[in-house]
Amino acid sequence: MKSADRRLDALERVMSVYETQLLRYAGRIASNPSAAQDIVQETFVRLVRKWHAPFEPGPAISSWLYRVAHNCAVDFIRRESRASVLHGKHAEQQEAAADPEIDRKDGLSDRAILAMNALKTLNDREQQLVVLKVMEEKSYREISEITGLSTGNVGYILHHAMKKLAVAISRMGDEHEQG
Amino acid sequence: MNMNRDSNAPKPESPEPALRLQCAEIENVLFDYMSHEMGEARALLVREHLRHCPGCRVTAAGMQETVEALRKASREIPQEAEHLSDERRSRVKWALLHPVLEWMVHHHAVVSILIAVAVLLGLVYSLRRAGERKPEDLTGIAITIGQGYVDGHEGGTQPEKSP
Repeated sequence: MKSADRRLDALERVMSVYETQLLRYAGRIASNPSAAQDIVQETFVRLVRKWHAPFEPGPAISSWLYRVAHNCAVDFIRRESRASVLHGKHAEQQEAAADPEIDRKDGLSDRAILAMNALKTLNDREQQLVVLKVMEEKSYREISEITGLSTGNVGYILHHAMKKLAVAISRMGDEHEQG
Repeated sequence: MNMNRDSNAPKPESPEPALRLQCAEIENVLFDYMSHEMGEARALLVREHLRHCPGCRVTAAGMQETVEALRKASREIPQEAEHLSDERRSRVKWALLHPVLEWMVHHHAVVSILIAVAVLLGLVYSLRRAGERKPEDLTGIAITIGQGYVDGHEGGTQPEKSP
Protein backbone atom coordinates (compact mmCIF):
# COMPACT_ATOMS: atom_id res chain seq x y z
CA MET A 1 0.00 0.00 0.00
CA LYS A 2 1.30 3.42 -0.95
CA SER A 3 2.10 6.05 1.67
CA ALA A 4 -0.74 8.33 0.49
CA ASP A 5 -3.23 5.45 0.73
CA ARG A 6 -2.06 4.59 4.25
CA ARG A 7 -2.41 8.24 5.30
CA LEU A 8 -5.86 8.38 3.72
CA ASP A 9 -6.94 5.25 5.63
CA ALA A 10 -5.62 6.73 8.87
CA LEU A 11 -7.48 9.98 8.21
CA GLU A 12 -10.70 8.05 7.54
CA ARG A 13 -10.26 6.28 10.89
CA VAL A 14 -9.75 9.55 12.75
CA MET A 15 -12.75 11.12 11.02
CA SER A 16 -15.01 8.20 11.83
CA VAL A 17 -13.99 8.34 15.51
CA TYR A 18 -14.37 12.10 16.00
CA GLU A 19 -16.84 13.44 13.42
CA THR A 20 -20.00 12.70 15.43
CA GLN A 21 -18.76 14.23 18.68
CA LEU A 22 -17.29 17.25 16.89
CA LEU A 23 -20.53 17.81 14.96
CA ARG A 24 -22.47 17.59 18.21
CA TYR A 25 -20.12 20.02 19.97
CA ALA A 26 -20.02 22.50 17.07
CA GLY A 27 -23.81 22.29 16.71
CA ARG A 28 -24.29 23.08 20.38
CA ILE A 29 -21.86 25.97 20.37
CA ALA A 30 -22.94 27.50 17.06
CA SER A 31 -26.64 26.53 17.35
CA ASN A 32 -26.63 25.91 13.61
CA PRO A 33 -26.36 22.43 12.03
CA SER A 34 -25.16 23.70 8.67
CA ALA A 35 -22.46 25.77 10.35
CA ALA A 36 -21.50 22.68 12.36
CA GLN A 37 -20.78 20.83 9.10
CA ASP A 38 -18.64 23.76 7.89
CA ILE A 39 -16.79 23.92 11.20
CA VAL A 40 -16.03 20.20 11.29
CA GLN A 41 -14.94 20.14 7.64
CA GLU A 42 -12.57 23.05 8.32
CA THR A 43 -11.29 21.29 11.45
CA PHE A 44 -10.34 18.16 9.49
CA VAL A 45 -8.84 20.19 6.62
CA ARG A 46 -6.64 21.99 9.18
CA LEU A 47 -5.72 18.61 10.63
CA VAL A 48 -4.52 17.54 7.17
CA ARG A 49 -2.57 20.79 6.75
CA LYS A 50 -0.97 21.07 10.15
CA TRP A 51 -0.82 17.68 11.86
CA HIS A 52 2.56 16.25 11.02
CA ALA A 53 2.47 13.22 13.31
CA PRO A 54 0.64 10.05 12.17
CA PHE A 55 -3.15 10.24 12.31
CA GLU A 56 -3.84 8.12 15.40
CA PRO A 57 -7.01 8.47 17.50
CA GLY A 58 -5.98 9.42 21.05
CA PRO A 59 -6.03 12.17 23.68
CA ALA A 60 -3.53 14.40 21.84
CA ILE A 61 -5.41 14.49 18.56
CA SER A 62 -8.75 14.69 20.38
CA SER A 63 -7.72 17.82 22.31
CA TRP A 64 -6.26 19.32 19.15
CA LEU A 65 -9.46 18.69 17.15
CA TYR A 66 -11.69 20.09 19.89
CA ARG A 67 -9.48 23.18 20.17
CA VAL A 68 -9.62 23.85 16.42
CA ALA A 69 -13.38 23.16 16.26
CA HIS A 70 -13.85 25.47 19.25
CA ASN A 71 -11.88 28.28 17.58
CA CYS A 72 -13.76 27.84 14.29
CA ALA A 73 -17.08 27.91 16.18
CA VAL A 74 -16.08 31.04 18.10
CA ASP A 75 -15.09 32.72 14.81
CA PHE A 76 -18.46 31.71 13.35
CA ILE A 77 -20.35 33.15 16.35
CA ARG A 78 -18.42 36.44 16.08
CA ARG A 79 -19.14 36.70 12.35
CA GLU A 80 -22.81 35.92 12.92
CA SER A 81 -23.01 38.37 15.77
CA ARG A 82 -21.46 41.15 13.65
CA ALA A 83 -23.79 40.33 10.77
CA SER A 84 -26.82 40.30 13.07
CA VAL A 85 -25.89 43.66 14.55
CA LEU A 86 -25.40 45.06 11.06
CA HIS A 87 -28.80 43.82 10.02
CA GLY A 88 -30.46 44.94 13.23
CA LYS A 89 -31.59 41.43 14.11
CA HIS A 90 -29.56 40.91 17.25
CA ALA A 91 -32.17 42.03 19.77
CA GLU A 92 -34.85 40.06 17.95
CA GLN A 93 -32.77 36.86 18.03
CA GLN A 94 -31.89 37.25 21.69
CA GLU A 95 -35.54 37.71 22.53
CA ALA A 96 -36.41 34.58 20.57
CA ALA A 97 -33.63 32.62 22.28
CA ALA A 98 -34.94 33.54 25.72
CA ASP A 99 -38.48 32.43 24.90
CA PRO A 100 -39.12 29.11 26.69
CA GLU A 101 -41.69 28.05 24.10
CA ILE A 102 -39.45 28.50 21.11
CA ASP A 103 -37.51 25.28 21.51
CA ARG A 104 -40.35 23.07 22.63
CA LYS A 105 -39.96 19.78 20.81
CA ASP A 106 -41.94 16.59 21.13
CA GLY A 107 -40.56 14.24 23.74
CA LEU A 108 -38.53 16.85 25.60
CA SER A 109 -39.28 17.07 29.30
CA ASP A 110 -40.14 20.46 30.83
CA ARG A 111 -37.05 20.31 33.01
CA ALA A 112 -34.83 19.75 29.96
CA ILE A 113 -36.44 22.63 28.06
CA LEU A 114 -35.97 24.90 31.06
CA ALA A 115 -32.33 23.88 31.33
CA MET A 116 -31.61 24.52 27.65
CA ASN A 117 -33.36 27.90 27.71
CA ALA A 118 -31.55 28.83 30.90
CA LEU A 119 -28.29 27.90 29.18
CA LYS A 120 -29.05 30.45 26.47
CA THR A 121 -29.21 33.23 29.04
CA LEU A 122 -25.50 32.78 29.76
CA ASN A 123 -22.88 34.63 27.76
CA ASP A 124 -21.04 32.83 24.94
CA ARG A 125 -17.98 31.88 26.99
CA GLU A 126 -20.05 30.55 29.90
CA GLN A 127 -22.21 28.53 27.51
CA GLN A 128 -19.12 27.04 25.85
CA LEU A 129 -17.63 26.02 29.18
CA VAL A 130 -20.89 24.51 30.46
CA VAL A 131 -21.28 22.53 27.23
CA LEU A 132 -17.71 21.27 27.47
CA LYS A 133 -17.97 20.36 31.15
CA VAL A 134 -21.52 19.11 31.57
CA MET A 135 -22.42 17.76 28.12
CA GLU A 136 -19.05 16.76 26.69
CA GLU A 137 -17.84 15.73 30.16
CA LYS A 138 -14.36 17.19 29.70
CA SER A 139 -12.04 17.76 32.66
CA TYR A 140 -10.88 21.25 33.64
CA ARG A 141 -7.46 20.45 32.16
CA GLU A 142 -8.99 19.41 28.82
CA ILE A 143 -11.23 22.50 28.79
CA SER A 144 -8.19 24.62 29.52
CA GLU A 145 -6.37 23.06 26.54
CA ILE A 146 -9.36 23.57 24.26
CA THR A 147 -10.20 27.14 25.22
CA GLY A 148 -6.77 28.47 26.17
CA LEU A 149 -8.04 29.55 29.60
CA SER A 150 -6.20 28.60 32.80
CA THR A 151 -7.74 25.75 34.81
CA GLY A 152 -8.37 28.18 37.69
CA ASN A 153 -10.23 30.50 35.36
CA VAL A 154 -12.26 27.58 33.96
CA GLY A 155 -13.36 26.63 37.48
CA TYR A 156 -14.20 30.23 38.35
CA ILE A 157 -16.29 30.83 35.22
CA LEU A 158 -18.08 27.48 35.60
CA HIS A 159 -18.88 28.17 39.24
CA HIS A 160 -20.56 31.47 38.35
CA ALA A 161 -22.24 29.97 35.28
CA MET A 162 -23.79 27.21 37.38
CA LYS A 163 -25.07 29.75 39.91
CA LYS A 164 -26.62 31.81 37.10
CA LEU A 165 -28.15 28.66 35.61
CA ALA A 166 -29.75 27.66 38.90
CA VAL A 167 -31.27 31.14 39.26
CA ALA A 168 -32.47 31.20 35.63
CA ILE A 169 -34.02 27.72 35.88
CA SER A 170 -35.77 28.67 39.09
CA ARG A 171 -37.09 31.94 37.58
CA MET A 172 -38.23 30.25 34.36
CA GLY A 173 -39.84 27.46 36.34
CA ASP A 174 -41.84 29.97 38.37
CA GLU A 175 -42.89 31.83 35.20
CA HIS A 176 -43.88 28.54 33.60
CA GLU A 177 -46.06 27.58 36.57
CA GLN A 178 -47.70 31.00 36.69
CA GLY A 179 -48.21 31.15 32.92
CA MET B 1 -29.10 31.22 47.47
CA ASN B 2 -28.79 32.17 51.10
CA MET B 3 -25.18 32.92 51.90
CA ASN B 4 -25.98 33.28 55.60
CA ARG B 5 -27.73 30.00 56.01
CA ASP B 6 -24.78 28.67 58.01
CA SER B 7 -26.27 30.55 60.93
CA ASN B 8 -29.37 28.35 60.65
CA ALA B 9 -27.43 25.16 60.09
CA PRO B 10 -26.62 23.03 63.10
CA LYS B 11 -23.34 24.18 64.57
CA PRO B 12 -20.83 21.39 64.78
CA GLU B 13 -19.33 20.91 68.16
CA SER B 14 -16.17 19.34 66.85
CA PRO B 15 -13.28 21.76 66.28
CA GLU B 16 -12.17 19.84 63.15
CA PRO B 17 -11.02 22.12 60.31
CA ALA B 18 -13.66 20.72 57.96
CA LEU B 19 -16.39 22.04 60.15
CA ARG B 20 -14.82 25.44 60.53
CA LEU B 21 -15.27 26.07 56.80
CA GLN B 22 -17.95 28.62 56.12
CA CYS B 23 -20.85 27.87 53.80
CA ALA B 24 -19.78 30.67 51.43
CA GLU B 25 -16.39 28.99 51.01
CA ILE B 26 -18.07 25.65 50.39
CA GLU B 27 -20.40 27.15 47.86
CA ASN B 28 -17.43 28.56 45.92
CA VAL B 29 -15.89 25.13 45.50
CA LEU B 30 -19.03 23.01 45.35
CA PHE B 31 -19.00 22.58 41.57
CA ASP B 32 -15.29 21.67 41.65
CA TYR B 33 -16.10 19.08 44.32
CA MET B 34 -19.03 17.64 42.39
CA SER B 35 -16.97 17.50 39.19
CA HIS B 36 -14.17 15.63 40.98
CA GLU B 37 -11.80 18.49 40.16
CA MET B 38 -10.51 18.83 43.69
CA GLY B 39 -7.60 17.27 45.56
CA GLU B 40 -8.50 14.47 47.96
CA ALA B 41 -7.60 16.48 51.09
CA ARG B 42 -9.88 19.42 50.19
CA ALA B 43 -12.59 17.07 48.94
CA LEU B 44 -12.57 15.45 52.39
CA LEU B 45 -13.11 18.86 54.03
CA VAL B 46 -16.06 19.60 51.74
CA ARG B 47 -17.54 16.15 52.32
CA GLU B 48 -17.31 16.61 56.07
CA HIS B 49 -18.93 20.03 55.85
CA LEU B 50 -21.77 18.69 53.70
CA ARG B 51 -22.36 15.90 56.18
CA HIS B 52 -23.06 18.45 58.90
CA CYS B 53 -24.67 21.30 56.95
CA PRO B 54 -28.21 20.73 55.60
CA GLY B 55 -28.20 24.13 53.84
CA CYS B 56 -25.15 23.27 51.75
CA ARG B 57 -26.62 19.84 51.03
CA VAL B 58 -29.68 21.59 49.55
CA THR B 59 -27.40 23.82 47.43
CA ALA B 60 -25.46 20.77 46.26
CA ALA B 61 -28.68 18.91 45.40
CA GLY B 62 -29.90 21.92 43.38
CA MET B 63 -26.63 22.07 41.47
CA GLN B 64 -26.79 18.35 40.81
CA GLU B 65 -30.34 18.76 39.49
CA THR B 66 -29.20 21.50 37.11
CA VAL B 67 -26.38 19.32 35.82
CA GLU B 68 -28.74 16.36 35.38
CA ALA B 69 -31.30 18.53 33.56
CA LEU B 70 -28.64 19.74 31.12
CA ARG B 71 -27.38 16.20 30.52
CA LYS B 72 -30.95 15.01 30.02
CA ALA B 73 -31.60 17.80 27.52
CA SER B 74 -28.37 16.97 25.75
CA ARG B 75 -29.48 13.34 25.39
CA GLU B 76 -33.06 14.18 24.45
CA ILE B 77 -32.41 16.80 21.78
CA PRO B 78 -31.77 14.88 18.58
CA GLN B 79 -28.56 15.63 16.72
CA GLU B 80 -29.18 17.00 13.22
CA ALA B 81 -26.40 15.01 11.58
CA GLU B 82 -24.03 12.40 12.95
CA HIS B 83 -21.72 12.36 9.95
CA LEU B 84 -20.10 14.81 7.62
CA SER B 85 -21.84 15.05 4.26
CA ASP B 86 -20.17 13.16 1.39
CA GLU B 87 -19.25 16.41 -0.29
CA ARG B 88 -17.44 17.72 2.78
CA ARG B 89 -15.76 14.37 3.39
CA SER B 90 -14.47 14.44 -0.21
CA ARG B 91 -13.15 17.96 0.34
CA VAL B 92 -11.11 16.77 3.33
CA LYS B 93 -9.69 13.82 1.36
CA TRP B 94 -8.88 16.11 -1.55
CA ALA B 95 -6.85 18.30 0.82
CA LEU B 96 -4.85 15.23 1.83
CA LEU B 97 -4.28 13.93 -1.70
CA HIS B 98 -3.42 17.30 -3.30
CA PRO B 99 -1.27 19.15 -0.77
CA VAL B 100 0.14 21.65 -3.30
CA LEU B 101 -3.28 22.60 -4.67
CA GLU B 102 -4.62 22.71 -1.13
CA TRP B 103 -1.78 25.08 -0.18
CA MET B 104 -2.69 27.26 -3.15
CA VAL B 105 -6.39 27.27 -2.22
CA HIS B 106 -5.56 28.07 1.40
CA HIS B 107 -3.14 30.84 0.42
CA HIS B 108 -5.22 32.06 -2.50
CA ALA B 109 -4.55 35.72 -1.70
CA VAL B 110 -0.77 35.22 -1.79
CA VAL B 111 -1.04 33.06 -4.92
CA SER B 112 -3.20 35.71 -6.66
CA ILE B 113 -0.70 38.45 -5.82
CA LEU B 114 2.23 36.32 -7.03
CA ILE B 115 0.43 35.56 -10.31
CA ALA B 116 -0.43 39.24 -10.81
CA VAL B 117 3.19 40.26 -10.15
CA ALA B 118 4.46 37.57 -12.55
CA VAL B 119 2.07 38.71 -15.29
CA LEU B 120 3.10 42.34 -14.78
CA LEU B 121 6.80 41.48 -14.88
CA GLY B 122 6.26 39.43 -18.06
CA LEU B 123 4.40 42.30 -19.66
CA VAL B 124 7.09 44.84 -18.77
CA TYR B 125 9.82 42.50 -20.04
CA SER B 126 8.00 41.91 -23.35
CA LEU B 127 7.45 45.62 -23.89
CA ARG B 128 11.10 46.40 -23.20
CA ARG B 129 12.20 43.66 -25.56
CA ALA B 130 9.87 44.98 -28.23
CA GLY B 131 11.18 48.53 -27.70
CA GLU B 132 14.78 47.40 -28.05
CA ARG B 133 14.12 45.32 -31.18
CA LYS B 134 12.27 48.00 -33.22
CA PRO B 135 15.23 50.05 -34.65
CA GLU B 136 17.19 46.89 -35.51
CA ASP B 137 14.31 45.52 -37.52
CA LEU B 138 14.19 48.69 -39.64
CA THR B 139 17.88 48.80 -40.56
CA GLY B 140 18.94 47.05 -43.75
CA ILE B 141 15.59 47.16 -45.40
CA ALA B 142 15.99 48.62 -48.89
CA ILE B 143 13.20 50.91 -49.88
CA THR B 144 13.00 51.80 -53.52
CA ILE B 145 10.41 54.27 -54.56
CA GLY B 146 9.53 54.73 -58.20
CA GLN B 147 12.78 53.25 -59.54
CA GLY B 148 12.54 52.62 -63.35
CA TYR B 149 9.32 54.45 -63.74
CA VAL B 150 10.60 57.99 -64.22
CA ASP B 151 12.09 58.89 -67.65
CA GLY B 152 15.19 61.06 -67.87
CA HIS B 153 16.37 60.27 -64.31
CA GLU B 154 19.77 58.81 -63.80
CA GLY B 155 19.75 55.04 -63.69
CA GLY B 156 16.11 54.97 -64.69
CA THR B 157 14.99 52.44 -67.20
CA GLN B 158 11.76 52.29 -69.04
CA PRO B 159 9.85 49.10 -68.51
CA GLU B 160 9.59 46.97 -71.60
CA LYS B 161 6.31 47.06 -73.26
CA SER B 162 4.74 43.80 -73.69
CA PRO B 163 4.11 42.79 -77.27
